[in-house]
Amino acid sequence: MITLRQAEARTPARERRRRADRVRETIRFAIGFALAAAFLIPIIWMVSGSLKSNEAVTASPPQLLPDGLHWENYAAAVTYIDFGTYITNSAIVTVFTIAGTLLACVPAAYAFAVLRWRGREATFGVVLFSMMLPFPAVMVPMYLIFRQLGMIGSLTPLLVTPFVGQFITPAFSSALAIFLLRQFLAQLPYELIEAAKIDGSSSLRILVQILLPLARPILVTVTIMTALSSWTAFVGPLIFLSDESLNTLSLGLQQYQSQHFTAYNLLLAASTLFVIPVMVLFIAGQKYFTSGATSGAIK
Amino acid sequence: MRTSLRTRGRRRTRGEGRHAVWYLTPWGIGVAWLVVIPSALALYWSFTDFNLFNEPKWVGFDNYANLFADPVFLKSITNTLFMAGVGVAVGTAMGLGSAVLLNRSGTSTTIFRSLIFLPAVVPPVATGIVWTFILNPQYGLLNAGARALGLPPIGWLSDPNFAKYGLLMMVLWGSVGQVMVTFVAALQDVPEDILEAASLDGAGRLRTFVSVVFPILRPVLLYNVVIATLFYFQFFEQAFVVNPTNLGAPAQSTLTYALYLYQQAFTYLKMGNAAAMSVLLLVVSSVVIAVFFAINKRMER
Amino acid sequence: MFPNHPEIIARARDGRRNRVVTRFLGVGAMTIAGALALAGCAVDGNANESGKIELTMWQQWGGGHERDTLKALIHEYESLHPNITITEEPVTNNAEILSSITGGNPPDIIDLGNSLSLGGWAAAGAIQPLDDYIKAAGLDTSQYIQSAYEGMTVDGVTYALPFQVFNAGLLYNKELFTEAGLDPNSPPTTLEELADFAKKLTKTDASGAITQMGFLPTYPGPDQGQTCPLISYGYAFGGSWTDANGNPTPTADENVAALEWEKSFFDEYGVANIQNFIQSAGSYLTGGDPLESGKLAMMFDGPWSAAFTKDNNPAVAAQLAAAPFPGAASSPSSTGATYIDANAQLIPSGAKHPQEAFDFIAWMTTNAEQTAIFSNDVANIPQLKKVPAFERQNDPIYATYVEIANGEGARSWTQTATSSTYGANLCQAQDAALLTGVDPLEALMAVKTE
Repeated sequence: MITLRQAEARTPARERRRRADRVRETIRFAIGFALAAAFLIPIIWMVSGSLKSNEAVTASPPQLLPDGLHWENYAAAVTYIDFGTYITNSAIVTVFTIAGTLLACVPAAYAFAVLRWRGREATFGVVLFSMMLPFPAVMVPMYLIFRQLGMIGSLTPLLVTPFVGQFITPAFSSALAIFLLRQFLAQLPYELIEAAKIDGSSSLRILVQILLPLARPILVTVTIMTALSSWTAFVGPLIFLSDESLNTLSLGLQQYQSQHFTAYNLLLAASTLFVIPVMVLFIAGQKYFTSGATSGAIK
Repeated sequence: MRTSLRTRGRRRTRGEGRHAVWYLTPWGIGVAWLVVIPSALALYWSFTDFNLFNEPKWVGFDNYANLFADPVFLKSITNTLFMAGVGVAVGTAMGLGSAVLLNRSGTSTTIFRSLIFLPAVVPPVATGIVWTFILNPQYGLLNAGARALGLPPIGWLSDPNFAKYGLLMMVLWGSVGQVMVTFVAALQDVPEDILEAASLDGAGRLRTFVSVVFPILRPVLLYNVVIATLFYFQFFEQAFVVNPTNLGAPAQSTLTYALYLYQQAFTYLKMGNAAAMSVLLLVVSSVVIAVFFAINKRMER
Repeated sequence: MFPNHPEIIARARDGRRNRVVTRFLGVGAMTIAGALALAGCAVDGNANESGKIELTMWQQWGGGHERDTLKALIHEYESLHPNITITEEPVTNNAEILSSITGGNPPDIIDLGNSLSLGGWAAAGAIQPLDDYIKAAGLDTSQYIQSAYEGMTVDGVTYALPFQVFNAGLLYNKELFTEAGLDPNSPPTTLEELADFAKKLTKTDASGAITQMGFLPTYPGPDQGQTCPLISYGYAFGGSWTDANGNPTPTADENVAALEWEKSFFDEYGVANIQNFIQSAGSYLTGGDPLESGKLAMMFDGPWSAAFTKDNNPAVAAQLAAAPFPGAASSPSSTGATYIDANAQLIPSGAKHPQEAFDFIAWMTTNAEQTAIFSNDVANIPQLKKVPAFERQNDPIYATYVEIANGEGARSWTQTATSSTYGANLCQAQDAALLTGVDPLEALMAVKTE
């Protein structure tokens, strides 16, 4: 039933525009859906491959559905290589990287954001520069330095670099951590510190007792980003470790190949196990990855 | 009015400099120990013949001369520049496109955005592995789709004419979401009233985008282009994983600069060449970074 | 993958209380002490009071059943030598192995999947010459298949001992020969004849797509982890890839002719058609592989392809036969031309127990029983001339490959300081010529030889 007012509102021009809007929204939804589905396919393919028999994984043409659910692949995958050792190594490296990054970068960011000293801007230029520096430009000399110190073939280079603010991967680096922390600290209200100073608080106390509690969100962001990038790091472990028993998981995945045979299904099962912690982290902390996208203005 | 730490006066407080030194010590040691000294040493080693077993022997500019006479080195540069060119253009366009498309609130668009962003957190090694199973001409999913449409299968990783595109697909899968997120954030900074004013003026959607929205996006666009360019300068992981025992195959079509640098250093022990390549990469990256900051500064003004 | 936009993340503010970080900070304070402790102490895993010696071995057989076979072999050695224990680990990446040596932390024994890196490593001083050990132990190296053993030497100095040989020959499908009107008992005798046969053995459907292929010059090849076939084809034309002084000769006439011969197949059938054919088939060493599914009449490969066919497709396997690969008409004496190589057992510089390591690899590579067990299991052929317990030898196909390995045509890669770069670049040149249309001579001229 159409009331008089509704009928009145339905002037042809408006009606046309509304219909056009609806069509546009539908198209928008359809394209968005297709895009999202396309981006999800590789992950689905990985999981489905991890449940197939090895023949089915390499069948041509590919089988869209697994030939039964071969959950035993997961059990086989973790015994086929020293999965336990590798995942432990990855965990050790990740914990040290997080701890080191926070311990080295938080004070540095504080010095750049809060303290005033001669040469601050110029020194911060070094941070900005090293934030963008490609790792391959320094990896060979870094390797040679660690070699001089007899640290190649141990986890030490990976464990030490974050503590001196030199954790570098393509995705995240100590310098980026300093940058983010400094941005955050620099926009906190100055009165907070002024008041604390009048109370006679030391600068360390101001940092730990006043600023850090306020900076929790950015600390979480930095922690998550560090965890993610050290868990997935490849080039650093590749050149520094050179001992299979020290392999992190990203290196260990190479071992599903043997001379005449590759256990593709186990490789995919292991990849799935490798990705799961990251996915969990992503789902739990998604807003820390992307929440900036929904609020506020840039700068 | 509230004063933030950034906007307060430049007056120094006595003693803060001394404190700053302490707070910066770990990072300062790291920069000196693992960036400055290595870079200086790299410069020295780039003028030597050095294989880790001998004492470095001074050879002047020989390493640089050899590199520029080496067809494989030049190939690694053209490969890298090609992938950077195509990858940056397509990646930025796709990121911007999906941002404009999905710049909405609402459950469905939020989920779409999350799913497009999701590959960004997948480890590059896993990305390389999984995509092998998509791009493989025999058992790969993409070619099965192509065959279903009556198209011939393509050796996305085994045909030298296509292998770069195969790698680019992997990278774009992981990076488009990140680019998109930055553009979505920037789009939300576009003031509603300006858009409304433009639409009242009768400006078309495209014109509004070009004359009103785009200028606001420009800094983010610049940032994305620079970051992506620098990413391709160090592109390594996926390219390594798809051919771990035969780097750069087929026909050196996937040999990136970083892979060749790695090969020079760790497969062939040509530390002199590797150091020279490090120095060149350092110089070129520095130029890119410096130009970025210069343009950025001008845009801020 | 890319770093996230700093400003955006910096704005990721959230009022929610989060204790994770503070906990992490606590953990951090505790762990930094641990880090420094770890950095400070180097643990010597090899010292042992009871006089027991622990050897470490890095192997490239991988993590599958080959690893179990290797473990059994090690176990046997340990029971014979109670003072020795050997820990093996699969290591796929040669650069990683090299890095452990240059980093001063190498294993005692390395079992390399092939000898390609040997020359470069020897020239750099990364691996130890074994001549003194061989002399002291009185090891008779003439018991090895000689061509395979030569690949373990650089300029006459032995740097490794061979274990499990691989070479190639012609595998062909007799049934397809008969169907095409060819005599199933007379495989081609020259490369030209092979190309001729291949034409008769190739079938296309109405649309022009290839449904059966006579011969694929580059399959399996490096795409499937196999040795670059161009090298063998050069030998088949009577060529050599190095001169008498070991200097590379990529553009020698015979080598160019070999690449042109390979290219003639791509010209004849079309690059895209050949690619489509390979890509539409199943993977190598599975039932869908072109040879194993009866769609490829002749293949240049090792005996393991026949062994896998037996498991995957017994009906086709029954039709398979092997023959020495033919030489070119211009070089009839080159029949049986093939690359030959083996897993290289070597001792890195800086190994902690070189003598014990040598004792083990000498035992491993000369013990006929263990060799037989291994060869039977991994489907390669033994590195020793006499291995009575090698059951596969009763299979005529394996017998042919053993004969090929001992024949004149079997040649190992000449080891020089730059031989591994050279070999890899040759293969890339082959791909460039065959797949991207570069002229064969130009492609070979562009090969970097140093």
